[in-house]
Amino acid sequence: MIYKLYDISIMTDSEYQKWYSVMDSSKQARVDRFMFEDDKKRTVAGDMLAREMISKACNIAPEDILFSKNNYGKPFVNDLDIEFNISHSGEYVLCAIDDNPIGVDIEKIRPVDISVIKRVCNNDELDYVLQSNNNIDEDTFKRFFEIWTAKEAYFKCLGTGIADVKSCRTQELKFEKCCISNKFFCSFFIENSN
Amino acid sequence: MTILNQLKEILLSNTEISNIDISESTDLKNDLNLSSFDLAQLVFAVEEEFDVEIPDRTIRSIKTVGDVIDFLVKQ
Repeated sequence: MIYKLYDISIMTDSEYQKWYSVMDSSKQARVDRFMFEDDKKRTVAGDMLAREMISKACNIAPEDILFSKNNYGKPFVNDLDIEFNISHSGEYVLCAIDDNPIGVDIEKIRPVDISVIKRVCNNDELDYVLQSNNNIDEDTFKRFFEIWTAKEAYFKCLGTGIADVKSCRTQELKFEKCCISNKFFCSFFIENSN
Repeated sequence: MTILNQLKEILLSNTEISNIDISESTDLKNDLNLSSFDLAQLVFAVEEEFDVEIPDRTIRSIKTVGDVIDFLVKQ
């Protein structure tokens, strides 16, 4: 697996225009529809990262790469034996490529209501997130987003859309994980690596 | 308060979007670019606020604010 993390605040107007013009027309239409500039930048940056990484790995020009989506909306590369996945949160865009189907997720670590934590986590995950104490603090939210991003990466890898979140038992699966400056959590799930 | 206004409040308090003009035709992904966690928080908050359970199949078919309102009206 190779991954890249990109901060949209460094994207210049000329870079934005360059990579916007490379995108397929349906994705351009999606970008045009977004209400917020940062959403436009995140989507263009995701497409840019995927094209740059796939271009390097497959020795093909970025503009010659064609993307399609499966019935559940998971994007894939046409005619090339490579898998990719993109996620974004806040100012960051994350893209990873691999030979096997892959799912990635990044989320900003932020306060979450305990009722949401209990809706997402099974009993074992809840024990891990809450650590058998009554104090809910920043570390609790960090552990929660470790679990959430793992589940999301798993469902994104399957490409069937997110279903019953408790059905993914993260403690029984293998994930790659990283935390950025205690502010963002990233998880990666690769099919056949378990 | 109308269902639309209740949904606006839920969206503003459960996601990172700021105060914008949200209507029934607002597309949760294509207009607001909500993340899957935002969508999950929205579903949980709607279930709690309106005392309903939204099945997974329905969650997958929800695209706009109007789709959420249609589901709630049918309950």
